[in-house]
Amino acid sequence: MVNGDRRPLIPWLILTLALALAALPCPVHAEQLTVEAELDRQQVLVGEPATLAITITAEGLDVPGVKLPLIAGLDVTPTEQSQGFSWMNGVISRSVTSTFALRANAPGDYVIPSFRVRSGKKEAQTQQLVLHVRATMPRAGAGFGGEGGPELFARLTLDRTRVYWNEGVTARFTLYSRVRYEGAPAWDPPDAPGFWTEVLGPARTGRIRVGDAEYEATEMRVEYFPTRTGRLKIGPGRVHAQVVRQIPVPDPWSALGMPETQVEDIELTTEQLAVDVVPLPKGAPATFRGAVGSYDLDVTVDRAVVHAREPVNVATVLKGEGNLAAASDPDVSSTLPSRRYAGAASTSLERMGLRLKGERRRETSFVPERPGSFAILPVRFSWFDPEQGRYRTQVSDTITVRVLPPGSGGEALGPAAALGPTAPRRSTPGAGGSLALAPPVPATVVAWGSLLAYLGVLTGLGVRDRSMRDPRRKRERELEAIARELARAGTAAPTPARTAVLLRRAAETRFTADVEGLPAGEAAARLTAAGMPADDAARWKETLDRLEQLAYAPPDARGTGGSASDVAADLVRRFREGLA
Amino acid sequence: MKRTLATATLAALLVAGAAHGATTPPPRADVLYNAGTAALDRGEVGPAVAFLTAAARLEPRARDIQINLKQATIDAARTRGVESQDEIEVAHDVPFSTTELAWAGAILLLLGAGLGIAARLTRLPRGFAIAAVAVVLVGTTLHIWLLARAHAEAVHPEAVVIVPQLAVERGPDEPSRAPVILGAGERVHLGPTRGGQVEIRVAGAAIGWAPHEGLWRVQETPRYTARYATP
Repeated sequence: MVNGDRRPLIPWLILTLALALAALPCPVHAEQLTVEAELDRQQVLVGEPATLAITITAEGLDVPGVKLPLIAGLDVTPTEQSQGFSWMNGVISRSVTSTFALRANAPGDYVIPSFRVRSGKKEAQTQQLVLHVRATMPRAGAGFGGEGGPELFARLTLDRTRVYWNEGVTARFTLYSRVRYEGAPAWDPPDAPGFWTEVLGPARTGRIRVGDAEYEATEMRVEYFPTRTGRLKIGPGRVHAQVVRQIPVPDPWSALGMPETQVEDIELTTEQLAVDVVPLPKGAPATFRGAVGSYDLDVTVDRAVVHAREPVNVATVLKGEGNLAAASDPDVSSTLPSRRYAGAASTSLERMGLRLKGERRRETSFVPERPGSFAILPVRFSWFDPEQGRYRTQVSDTITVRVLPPGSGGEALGPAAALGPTAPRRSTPGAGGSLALAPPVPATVVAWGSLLAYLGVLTGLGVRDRSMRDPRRKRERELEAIARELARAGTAAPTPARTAVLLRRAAETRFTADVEGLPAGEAAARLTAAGMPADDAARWKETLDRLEQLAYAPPDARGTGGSASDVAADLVRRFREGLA
Repeated sequence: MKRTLATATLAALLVAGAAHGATTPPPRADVLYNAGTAALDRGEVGPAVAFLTAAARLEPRARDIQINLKQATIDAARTRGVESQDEIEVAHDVPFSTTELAWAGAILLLLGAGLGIAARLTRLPRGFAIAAVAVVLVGTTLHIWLLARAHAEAVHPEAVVIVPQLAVERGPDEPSRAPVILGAGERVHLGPTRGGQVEIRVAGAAIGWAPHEGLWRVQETPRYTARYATP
C-alpha cells in the first residue's frame, strides 16, 4: 500500500454525482424559469460583429433549448454555450448561456424580437432588443477589406451631442488599422464651422479590440466650443496614411522567394455628426461676460505695504475647464483714485486630458500717489456652470494696502502740518435752501417753461410758414378775403365797380386764369377753357356786365344793384366750395 | 360747481403748503456752520464734517465754512491714524449752490428762448438765432445735469461716518471676509437698507453693509443741530 499521495475523495464524489444527475433526463419540470437576452453593445458598424447572450435559468435540471427567431438582414452565427449549476437549500438550479455573433451587411436599426421558452407548464419571455448598425467607414482602397471586418477604417465620436453655447464638446477622430503602414497617419483639420477649436495634444496610439478583430487605433482628440446656437456640424475628418501591401509572388523561385511589398497612399473620411447648441438660460448676473465651464478665481496682491508712487500689482487668476482663451477677465478697482494700468492677459492651457484645462492670469497695477491706505475692492467673476445648469459667482475679499511716503524706507511718518485756527461762529443769518440737491421749483418752472415756450413758438411758426407756402391754401385765403369784402353791408359795402373787380379777381384765383382787362365775353370764354362750368360762366358774364353797367349808371338808376352783388357773392361762395 | 371745487382744492393746497413751510423751515447755512464748529470744538469730527458739508452745499464759497471743513477733515484723518498732511484729501465740490446753478440755468433758458422767438418773429440776423440756440442748449444741459445729480442723491444719498469706527461687513447671503473699517468723518454714499443695516458705497461700488446708526445723511443733518446749539 502506497501511503503518500492521498487525494480527498469527497469533492470528486460530489462532482461526479452532479454530472451524472445532469446527464440523466429529469422527469421533474422546472418550478422557476427565467430567460434573459443581452447585447454586448447597442451600436456597431456594418460588418462589425455584436454578441448576443441568452441565459436561461431553471430550477431542476430540465432546461429548454434556445432557438433564435429569424432576424431579417442579420447574419446570426452560434459561437459558444456554457452551463452552470447551483444547489442551494436542496434545490438544484441550472443555467445555460448561449452566445451568438450578429453581423449586418447594411446600416439600419435591427430589432431582435422577444421570444419565449417553455419548460413544462412554465414559460418565460425575453425582452425586445435593438441593434443600431451604422454605415461602415470607407475602407482602404481595393484589397484592404478582410474577413472579420474591415482592415482599415476611421471613426468620429462625440462625448455629447447637446451642449450650451460655449460649452466644450470633445471629438475623437480614430483610425483603426489591421494592416501595417509607414510613418504616422496625418489628420487634416476637421471642418467645424461655428466652433472655436482646440486640439488636445498629439495623437495617441494603442491597441483595441473591435468585434473579433484587434486593431491598432490612432486617435486625435479635439475640443470644440460652439460660438453660436442651433444645430452645428462637426466633421468629416480626413486621415492620410501610407499602407504597406504585400504583392503575391508569381514565381516562388524569383527573388529567392522573398515577398514583395508596395506602399499605397490612402485617404479615409469619417462621417459628419451634428451637435445641438442651446442658448444659455436667462437671468445672467451683471458680471457675467460669457465664461462657460468650471472655474475658480484667485486674487493676489504682490505686497501689502508700498511706498507712494510705487506700483501694487493685483493678479486675477482664473483656473478650470472651459474656453479660457475667450473668458473675460474680471474688473479690478480700488477705493482711492490712483493711476491704474491693466496688463495683458496670459493663458496657459493643459491639453493632455479629456478636457481643455488651464489658467488665465492678468495683472492690474495701481500706483498710489499719496501715503495712507487704500483697499482693492472685492473682485467678482461670474460664469455659467453647464453641469449644474446655473450661473455662479465668486467674490474675492477686500484687500487693504498701506502706502508709505515716497522713498521713506519705512521710517516714522512726520506729524501733519498745523493749520490755522478755526473760523469763529457766525451771528448773522446765512443762506437757506434745500440740501437735497434738487433745483428749486420756481427755477425749474421758469427753465422748462421757457424751453417749452421756445419749442412751441418754433413749432407754431413752422406750421404757419408751411401753410403760407401752400398755393392752394393761399388761393383759399384770397377767396375768403374777397367773400368777406363782398359781405360788408351799409356804407362799407363795395360799390358795383369794386364788386366787378372782386368778381374778376375771384374767378382768376379760383381757375388760375388771367382775365384782367379782357372784355367780359372773352374773359368768360377763357375761364370756361380753364375749367369754369358753362352755367357759371354765363352767370359770371351776365353779373359782370350788370355790375359794369351799374358802375357807370346815374345814382338814381342803381336801385337793382343789390341783386347783382348777391349773385356775385353767391358765385364767390361757389368758387370757394369748388376750391375746397 | 367745478370752479368751486377747483378753488377749494387750490386753497387747500396753499394752506397745506404754508403749514408745511411754517413747520419745517428750510435749513440755514449759519445754523449748520455753527453746529459744525461746535462739534469741531468738542472734538466730534464725524458730526463736524457732516454739518459743515451740509453748510457748504448752501454756501459753497463761504470762506469760514471752507476753513472749518478742511480743519474737520484733517482732524478726522488724524483720528483714523493718518499722520501726514499730504495724504489727506479734502473734497472740492462745485463752488456754486444748487439754487444758484438752477437759477442761472433758468435765466439762460429764458434769455435764449426770448432771443430765439424774437429772432424768429422780427427777422433779426441769423447770428441771433444761432446764439439763442446755443444759450438754450447750455441752460438745458445745466438743468439736466442738476436733475441727474438730484436723482443720484435721492438714490444713493451722501452720508458721513459719525462713530469712531464703523465696520462694513458683507451681507448674510454673501461669503464672509474681514470687515472694512471706516473712520469718523469719512464721506460715503448709501444704498438700500435692510433691517438695521444700510449698504455702503464707495467710488460707485458697494463694499458691504453697516448699521445705519453710525452714519448721518448730509440731507438730514439739520435734525441734529439742536444738540450743538450754543446759548
